[in-house]
Amino acid sequence: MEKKILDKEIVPLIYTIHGNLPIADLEYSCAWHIGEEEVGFMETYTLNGEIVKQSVHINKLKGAEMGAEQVQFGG
Amino acid sequence: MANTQAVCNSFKTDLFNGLHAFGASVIRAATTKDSFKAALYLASATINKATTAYSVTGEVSGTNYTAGGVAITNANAPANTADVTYWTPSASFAWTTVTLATAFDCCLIYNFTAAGVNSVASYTFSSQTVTAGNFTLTMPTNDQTTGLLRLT
Repeated sequence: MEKKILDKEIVPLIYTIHGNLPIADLEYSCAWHIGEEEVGFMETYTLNGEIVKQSVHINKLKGAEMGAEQVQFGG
Repeated sequence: MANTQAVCNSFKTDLFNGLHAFGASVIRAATTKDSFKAALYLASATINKATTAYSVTGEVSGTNYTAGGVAITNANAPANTADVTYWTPSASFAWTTVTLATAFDCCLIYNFTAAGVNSVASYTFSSQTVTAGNFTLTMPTNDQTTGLLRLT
């Protein structure tokens, strides 16, 4: 006979350096870094002060430029 | 009408497409575009304008990171607007569920088709570590002022 799983029995897990842990046991924090050439977003999960998961997303706002210089004859 | 001295815009775009060789070049096997990759480097590495090719020296290492980095999605053809030729990858660079415990702050784009895995450009960002998570580098707008690679 199949047992119906109730919503309250479902424990959301998240992958960490210690394997899958209940997300409710972790402390979440996020931080933004806004610079002239990039915007960064970091999200961190800690367990008793230890970082167990940390992701970083960086948006490069500008690439690299090179110039094709012109030289005048006789200049 | 008058003549003006200029580096031709078409030439700039041709350079991006590998049409000119003033020095010794290579035999190209096909007319198709090359494949490019992006690799991450430790903050302690020395990747700069003098870097000639991809190397594992100073490259990050860690869980789920493959040496050599990730393939670059290239659906954007080089274009020229306002005398600037530019090109930008058409997707973010993404490393998923990686652990990179030692600080890194640089990404090297290099030619994976070329026998010498010749370097293209290095890009720096604020120093980072990643723990059992994702690292993504989102590309700038592909235009003449912010494109990832621009020739003015």
